[in-house]
Amino acid sequence: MSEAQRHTQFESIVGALAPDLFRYAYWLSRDRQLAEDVVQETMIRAYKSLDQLRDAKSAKHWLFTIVRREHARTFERKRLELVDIDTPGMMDDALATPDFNHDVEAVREALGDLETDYREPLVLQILLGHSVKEIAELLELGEGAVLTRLFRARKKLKVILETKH
Amino acid sequence: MNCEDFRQQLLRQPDDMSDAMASHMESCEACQAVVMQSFADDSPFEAMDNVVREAMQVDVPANLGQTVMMQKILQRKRRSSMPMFALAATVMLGIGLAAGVFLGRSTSELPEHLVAHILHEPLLLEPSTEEISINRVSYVLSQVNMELRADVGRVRHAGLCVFEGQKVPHLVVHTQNGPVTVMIIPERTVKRVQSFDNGEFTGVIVPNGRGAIAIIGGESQDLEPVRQKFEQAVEYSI
Repeated sequence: MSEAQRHTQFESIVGALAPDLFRYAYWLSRDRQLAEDVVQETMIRAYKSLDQLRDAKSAKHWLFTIVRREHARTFERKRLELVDIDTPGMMDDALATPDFNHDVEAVREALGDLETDYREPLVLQILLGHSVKEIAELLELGEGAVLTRLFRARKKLKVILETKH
Repeated sequence: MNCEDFRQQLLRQPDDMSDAMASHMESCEACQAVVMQSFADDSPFEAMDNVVREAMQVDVPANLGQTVMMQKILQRKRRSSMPMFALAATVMLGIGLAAGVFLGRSTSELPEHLVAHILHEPLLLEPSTEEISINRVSYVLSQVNMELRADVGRVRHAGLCVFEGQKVPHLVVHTQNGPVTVMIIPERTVKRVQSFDNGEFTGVIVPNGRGAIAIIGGESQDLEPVRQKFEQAVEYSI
């Protein structure tokens, strides 16, 4: 495959998924810079392994798995808990949009308070449109367990919103 | 709990699920299908899901998809128009290899390489109030199997550079007396603490695990506080 063909294939398969990968990484880490780093590393790996990525469908699962592992590689290590002054809660300046909407902001804060075990499947389902089966494969859980988390995530989110706002 | 109990409870409290319900559902495909239906359109969750979806739509960096392409292009440009100092380093590397000595492994030349590297990226030392997150610093270190175990102060830049042929975290930290560069060089044997001062830069290279940490500041700058912090904070994770 020529370099030009590789670029075209990369753009059509991986480039199209970049926004979803970034948002997934963001909601895992809640840090824009870190999410960008993780996606960049994921895309570099994808570029190197492009020959093995036959179509967008197989690429999707592979890429989301890399983002997940890359994020875990950073955070599952034992390290000192430090207060991140760039991201106090969910009040990240970078999240502020010109069309400020209080409800959306409140939900963002509440999502930040939700444990990752619940937030992650919720992001995959609601934002990224993954099926329960796809989420189960990605998170290496049974479909029943995923359904439980999805159910409880909504309940917890509702409780957080009712308590705080 | 049986299927009938499960569905009755689900009807009574459609947004709640007890441990008993979860346990039943996880082993019952029929009840899983019922729950899955509750996530479909027109479900009790639809209104909430619409707001949550909107909240999750954070802005995506404009150039995200192009970053890798840019890197590839830049790599090609670098190869085709190599700066003079890099060209010189390549020639010296060739001579070193021919003589059976790897340029990067000579401790006496390390300060010179560090200064050359810093001079290659002068913008990093321009006045700035920028401060990056500790998560980003951790991420950069994790790329060379290192981790942060303590606070290292205010960091304004953290990136990975190719230095002496290997990936090296290049950090710039804020101090009261101006920016200080910290380069954490894995797998670089340094037997003792080495200080240097070339009139423009002051530096200290300290052994750290399997590698070394180099701290470089301006002329006569006190590097001790930064050195102490990084010596305590940076460790190999593997």
